[in-house]
Amino acid sequence: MTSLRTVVQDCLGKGETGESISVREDVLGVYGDDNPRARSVVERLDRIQTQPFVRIALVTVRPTSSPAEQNANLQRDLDTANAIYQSECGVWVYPVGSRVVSTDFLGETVQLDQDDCFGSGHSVSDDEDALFDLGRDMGAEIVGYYINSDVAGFRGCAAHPKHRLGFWVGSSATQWTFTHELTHLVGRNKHRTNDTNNLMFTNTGAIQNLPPDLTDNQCERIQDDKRTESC
Amino acid sequence: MERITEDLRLALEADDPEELEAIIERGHPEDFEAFQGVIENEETPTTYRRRALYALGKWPDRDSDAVNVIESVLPRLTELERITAISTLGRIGTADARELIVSKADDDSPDVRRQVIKGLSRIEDETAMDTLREFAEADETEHVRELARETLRRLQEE
Repeated sequence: MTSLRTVVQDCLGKGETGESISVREDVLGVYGDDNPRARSVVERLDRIQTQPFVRIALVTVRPTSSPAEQNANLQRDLDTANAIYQSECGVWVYPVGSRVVSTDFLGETVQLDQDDCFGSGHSVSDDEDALFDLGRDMGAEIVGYYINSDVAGFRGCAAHPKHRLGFWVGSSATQWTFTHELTHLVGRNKHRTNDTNNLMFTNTGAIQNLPPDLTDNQCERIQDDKRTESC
Repeated sequence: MERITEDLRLALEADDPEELEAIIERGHPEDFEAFQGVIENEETPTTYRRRALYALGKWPDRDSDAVNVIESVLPRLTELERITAISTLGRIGTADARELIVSKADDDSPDVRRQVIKGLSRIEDETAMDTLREFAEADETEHVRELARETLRRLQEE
């Protein structure tokens, strides 16, 4: 029988240099206490070895004047992303780590001054350039950032500087915003303005018949994305 | 909130700006007027007012109108709304916009003053540079002074 360490090393790249492996974080992908539930290591090891996954690093930005605490909804968001991706597309989401950065470059209210949210022809502001430098050494191509909002007050955005993939979500995000923005990035899925049951409906706070759906085509785009990997 | 069309409502309620960017790009005058109404209506929730301010600042060929709208509401905006308004003015970048930005250089909120610095850094004329130097030397908050110093350094290198 293959050992847990071997699976985690070979499939996820953790513990390769001899460091200890945390079952909670490195295997189960649990980084917060905000969404307690039963989690099976056996099921997880099977999933790691058999199902495609998307690797993501998580960074919470806090001003230096406040406690350096991870975003309070981080585990809820990870579990939501996993529930939707697994049930709809047979893909799971692996968090390589969660980091809190104490800094004042977004001010005390942590507002991102972003030029636009275009998928193509995107202009990168100084704030965005600095934000998307964070977490690049954590072991994932995609980094998800928790901030308070952009200066326009949106819940999230998946536009990013070239070669620094990522998205941000704000404090007004719904339970579905994190996965919505991730899905803009993975598979380059666009909004579905007339499909109120779909994760990519423009306003995730108004999605009907929860949990949200993904279509076969959206799943194919996620499965075929080059960021989706397999053991 | 103001009576607005369904597509404008969807754009203001959306998670991200994709729909709003499309409305800005098509540039219909009646949409501009609708957003102006959203901004001016005192009953409008902060979130929608901020999004409408953002839209006006990017509207094609309506710089002067957008500055006038912002000038009329600026004294009664909340801290977060002032941050949005100053960001919008910085993107507009006209002399009138610069004048309004500078008028908020002594705002009580350090984050509004940070936004003043970012706004002026987009304009880069001599008045803007003078104000940036004042921030770098005399602002009461360390991270605001530091942002001004960094901004001046970057602008001098360009």
